Amino acid sequence: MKTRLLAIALTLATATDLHAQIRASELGSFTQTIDGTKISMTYSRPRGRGRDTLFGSVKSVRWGEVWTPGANYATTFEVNRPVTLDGHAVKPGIYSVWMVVRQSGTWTMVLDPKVRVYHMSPPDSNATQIRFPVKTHDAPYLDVLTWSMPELRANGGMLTMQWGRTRVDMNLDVEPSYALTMSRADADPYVGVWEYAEIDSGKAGPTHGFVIDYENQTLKGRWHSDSSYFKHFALVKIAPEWFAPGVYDDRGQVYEVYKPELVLEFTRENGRATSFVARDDQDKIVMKGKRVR
Amino acid sequence: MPQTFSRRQFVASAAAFVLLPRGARAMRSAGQHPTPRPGITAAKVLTRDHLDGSAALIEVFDGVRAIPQVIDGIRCQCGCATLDGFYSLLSCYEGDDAMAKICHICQGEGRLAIRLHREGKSLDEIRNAIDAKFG
Repeated sequence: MKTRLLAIALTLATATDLHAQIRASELGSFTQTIDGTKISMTYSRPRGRGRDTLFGSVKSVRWGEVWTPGANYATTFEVNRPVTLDGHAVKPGIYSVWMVVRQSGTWTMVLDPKVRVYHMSPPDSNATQIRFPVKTHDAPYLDVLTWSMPELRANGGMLTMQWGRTRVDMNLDVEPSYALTMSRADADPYVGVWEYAEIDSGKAGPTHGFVIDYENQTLKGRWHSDSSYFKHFALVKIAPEWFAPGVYDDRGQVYEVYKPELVLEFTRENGRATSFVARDDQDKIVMKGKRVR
Repeated sequence: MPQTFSRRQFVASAAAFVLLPRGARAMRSAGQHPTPRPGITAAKVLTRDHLDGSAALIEVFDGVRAIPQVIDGIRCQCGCATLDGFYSLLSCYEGDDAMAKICHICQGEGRLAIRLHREGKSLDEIRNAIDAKFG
């Protein structure tokens, strides 16, 4: 009987791809790119359908069940570059997603390299899986199971699953494309007091001050501005002698590296940077600067 | 203090210069640069007759036309590299619907390549610079 039900279920699930049809758990997906790392999830989205209890009920997800946070075919998680989830390394690839659901204590998040697995056939624990504990949180009611990344940073974000009044958050970190820090020895040739002028239609405007300092292992710039956001910005090295401004948010985190719109190209004399030009995305010189001391 | 701060505000507050319209934001690309095709020419690169009299466009298209063997060794970072018929940055400058007519990334890459070539940089150095700035 169970086999027959499974066969029927599989047939119905397959039919989803072939016919327009109202499904209890419609197929959904989301994709998020962070600093060149593409994160994608595809999943069928079960609805509450008026059920009082979504977890710990025979009508929905039972305690102790190895459950795919979705429906029908197992939810998939795909990344094109290495990431970490709550500090656990995940290699580029596609994984089926499972959770061991418990009444008390932590749940277990499971990424299994085998995909296209029906939800009624959860994988046994094995060495190819990535497994780690996750905490559940109470949350405002959400009728449709939803995976999302409601918080983003320059180097990651919060990956969240929510259904009903239960939410699971995981910290996702990507590999940053740039190093914000550099050694004192590498920074010293640029540190000092500078002046610069904007260039408009080939003509130089008024001269302004520009200070480059070294703080918290980061090369930072400060130039003429009334903006608190621009009092201190990171100078992010993108190539030998080339730097792009990294803009800080209120928490002191770089939230954008401002290229190709503005790249500072320094010139050295006797090992010390003595002048620079700033070019825009069309390679036009928009600023010229020189060291004062 | 505002909670958000646009790119335009960022630059305006610092230097008050005007940004050119921004094209599609290029993503970091893992793609390899193409090998310049032997005997490649600029025969398909659009000429001024097809550029609506835009001096800026004519300048960059002319610059590209002068060094097809270099431009053909560069992978464009605007996202067009996955399109059918695309081979290299040179492809962006070819044909009536040449993407570089409207794409600021294609144009900026072309201008950077032209300048660095004039400065005597090798193809590999130009590729690295394109990747650093637009990748």
